[in-house]
Amino acid sequence: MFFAKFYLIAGSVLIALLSWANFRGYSIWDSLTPNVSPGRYSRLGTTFHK
Amino acid sequence: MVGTASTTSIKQFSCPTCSGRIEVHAVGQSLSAACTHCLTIVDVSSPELTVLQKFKENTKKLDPDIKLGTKGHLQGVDWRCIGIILQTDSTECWYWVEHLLFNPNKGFRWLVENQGHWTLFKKTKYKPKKEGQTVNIYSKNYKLYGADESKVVMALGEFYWRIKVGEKAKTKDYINPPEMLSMAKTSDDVVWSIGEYVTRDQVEAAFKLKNILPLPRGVAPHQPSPHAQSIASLAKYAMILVAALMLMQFFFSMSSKDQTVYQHVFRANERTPGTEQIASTPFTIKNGISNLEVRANANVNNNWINLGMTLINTDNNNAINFDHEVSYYSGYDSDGSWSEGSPSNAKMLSSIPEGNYILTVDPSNLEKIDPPEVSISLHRNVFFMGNFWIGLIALLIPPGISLVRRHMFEVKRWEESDYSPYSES
Repeated sequence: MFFAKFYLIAGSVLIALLSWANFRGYSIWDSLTPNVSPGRYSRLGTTFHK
Repeated sequence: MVGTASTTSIKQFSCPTCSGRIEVHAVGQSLSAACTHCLTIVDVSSPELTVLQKFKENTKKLDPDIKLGTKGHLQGVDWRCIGIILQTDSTECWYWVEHLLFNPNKGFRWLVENQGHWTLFKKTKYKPKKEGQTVNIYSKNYKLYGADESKVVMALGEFYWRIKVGEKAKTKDYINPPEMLSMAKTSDDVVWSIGEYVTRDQVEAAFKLKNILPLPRGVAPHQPSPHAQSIASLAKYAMILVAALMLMQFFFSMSSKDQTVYQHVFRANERTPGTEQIASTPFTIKNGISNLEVRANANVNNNWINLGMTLINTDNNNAINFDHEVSYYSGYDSDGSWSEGSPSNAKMLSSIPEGNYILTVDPSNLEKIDPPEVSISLHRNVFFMGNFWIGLIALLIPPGISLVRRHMFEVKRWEESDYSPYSES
């Protein structure tokens, strides 16, 4: 019974976190893609450089 | 040799073989008694004390965990252990101990110990109804677990029949955990008994024994599953949580606007002189923080383009680099037409804050498609299912694991049975 209650609480917390992520536009699955990386750029003329 | 009547409800006799004391507690009900000193079995139903069975002097005596004469309080009733039998099966590899308990008001019960598991049996006068390998009694179905033969190996104390060491009975056990229905058939009689699983802790507490009783080994046929209750609770909570998750996703879909914030056709000849990049015009993303979906569409026909993109926030120069490939191939083979990829592709960027932005595109192979251009559009606050699926899988893992554990417990329960529903044959 303890595990079942723990599951209910943990599941509720998970749903709350996923709701927060959804409304912030944060996709857990897409964030795991290796092809997205942050960086900083500076403008040089009309081009942008790392 | 003749016994003397006691002033209490106990009768005492002198053993005809060794003159040792034989006590009878179920006066008028016990028909035989085995002397604890020389193991001689005596008929105590008549004053003559006829010897039913004698044993050699050096015959090994039973040394039970619950001694003869021990009193206990089990399931709300006071019991005294008045008889003990050691039995074996037809292979003589399995042995179990049966303790005959007596209460003057409640009669007899059998407390059976087998591989460290305990069962309290009560004789039933009703015969169950048979339906194949299942029997029904008192509106409950019991499944056949085992059929064999039992043999009395040793006896101590008194019994309500004229017991004989070596006597055999055909047995059948049926289960409906935590209960077991047992049949014992001899040449004289067929006896049905219903047993209820009793834990080692309960027996220890009842007879005030500490750390004497053997530890349970394996899973008893009628042992209650420790997972049954947890499965029921987990299933109930899983349904509630999945419903809540679906409701959350529904509200999310209602609030997703899928706004187009920027749209442009990038052409190969628009590259900034001296670089490989094509830069967009500045655009503004409004309304807080949300996702941004980058959709690319190009006329790739058995071809590909790769777009190295950078989304730059011109307010703080923070940037996100990502690659976006658009490819499409199709043809015919022996199985018919086939295709792979798509002329359109979308990529999701998470948690993009509001602000002023520029998008740079560094295309590869753009000149090789006709026309050499790619249409790129940016969409804000787009509905997606990724978090829902991750949440659903996470919520279903604990009940899934519980189900597997329950199944494994049941398989282990039926391991020793010739009638296992899990056997491969």
